[in-house]
Amino acid sequence: MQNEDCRNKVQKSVEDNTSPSLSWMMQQDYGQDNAHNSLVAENSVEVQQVLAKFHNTSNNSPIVDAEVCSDAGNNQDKDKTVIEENTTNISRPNSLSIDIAKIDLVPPENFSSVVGGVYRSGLPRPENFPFLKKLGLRSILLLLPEPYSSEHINWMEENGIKLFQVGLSGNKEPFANIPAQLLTEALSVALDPSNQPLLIHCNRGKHRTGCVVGCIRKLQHWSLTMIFDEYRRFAFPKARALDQQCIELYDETEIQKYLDLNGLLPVPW
Amino acid sequence: MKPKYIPPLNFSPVVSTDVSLYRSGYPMPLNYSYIRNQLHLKTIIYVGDKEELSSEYSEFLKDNAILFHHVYMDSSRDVSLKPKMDKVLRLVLDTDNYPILIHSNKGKHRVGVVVGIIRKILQGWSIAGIYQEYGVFSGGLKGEVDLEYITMFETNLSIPKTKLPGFAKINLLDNTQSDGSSTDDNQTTIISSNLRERLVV
Repeated sequence: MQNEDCRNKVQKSVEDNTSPSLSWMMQQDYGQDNAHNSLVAENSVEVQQVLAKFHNTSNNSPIVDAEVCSDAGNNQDKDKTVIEENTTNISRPNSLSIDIAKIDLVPPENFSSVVGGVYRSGLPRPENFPFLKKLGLRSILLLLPEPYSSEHINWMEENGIKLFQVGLSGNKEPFANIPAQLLTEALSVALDPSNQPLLIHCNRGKHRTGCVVGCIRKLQHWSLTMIFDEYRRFAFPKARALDQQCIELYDETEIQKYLDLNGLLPVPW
Repeated sequence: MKPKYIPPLNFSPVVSTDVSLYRSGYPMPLNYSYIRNQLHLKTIIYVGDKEELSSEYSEFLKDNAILFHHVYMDSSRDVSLKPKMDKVLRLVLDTDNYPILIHSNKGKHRVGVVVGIIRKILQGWSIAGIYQEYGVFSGGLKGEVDLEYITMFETNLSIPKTKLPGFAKINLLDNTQSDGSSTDDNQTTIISSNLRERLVV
């Protein structure tokens, strides 16, 4: 069976320490017995070998060829040829190599770039720490009134990250109130370049963080329409009219003066 | 440029014909000048669960001679909800109380139920229309129990005729009808349509 031949050939390439191409992996997905959707059994020998090679990829980065991928599984003969071509290509210098991380980089909930060295997110969990480490954060601006867990504090100390805390209460509408003075304090921390790269976060990264970011956008002279649009995008489906009102009514003259004085405006991208 | 008037959360007129009936979420100090200068309220009905009034709110009500009625409501799952709804309906069916603002906390769910019942019993709206209006304010979230409550709600109230607001003349039952003799000429009965269908045998 052509399928068998293919797999044997590729198996050989695996054993020869030439890495599996994506087309080969898709072949595996199309499986034995021509059953289109059957996957190779997860505990089968081939898969174990592949995974072993895959995770030892410091020298053996697979070359991913987009054209090859699209042909996979359609024409067996063509695939045989393609696989052979790939094995020769691999011996060339890795101009298209991809470095595969050994650990998963998982961003915290609602993570995004705000401007320059300022990021936003929800409360990070330990599984997000590797991701955050990559950002090279200098500080974190915590908008919750409650203290951080010891896990967080330890991780920050290990990585030399400074903590700023401006506690905004998490009340429900319409009783939630974010005093202008606290917003100003948060902004003066976030827009100070010596604190950046900096991560602003609250609990979900929607409401309190949304208000602070909205005020940053005011300092960037965004239209209210687009400020609210961004707020709603992150807060969906729980957008709060009163958060947007808070942004609208925030008087930025004081923080504007302070930033002007220190040459910190305009906020650099 | 600071805005001049800030309406409370989810503010909207409910009836603006011969009388003015409004709905909203809980008014905060930022909203007081709007209420004072644009609404000229006589009565505020609070259908929520906050037991105490802030000192600012109490003072505002006193300074503007607004009558405040707290009809405690927690959710539409409350088994003793019917008499509370009847109380709200009685307040709404008296022209002496207008202009009226009915508010809850967010102005979405509890107020949505009250307005839905007003639409159904007093204005004869279709259920589809009631659901649609409820959905506009609730943002499509958490509505099923409330909508079911509105749909199943029935009542039978005797109201002074002369005090009846014009918009509420849909579901009237004339007291002279049943046995030829008139009962109280000054009273009329508001009855929900599902109850009325059962009386007609």
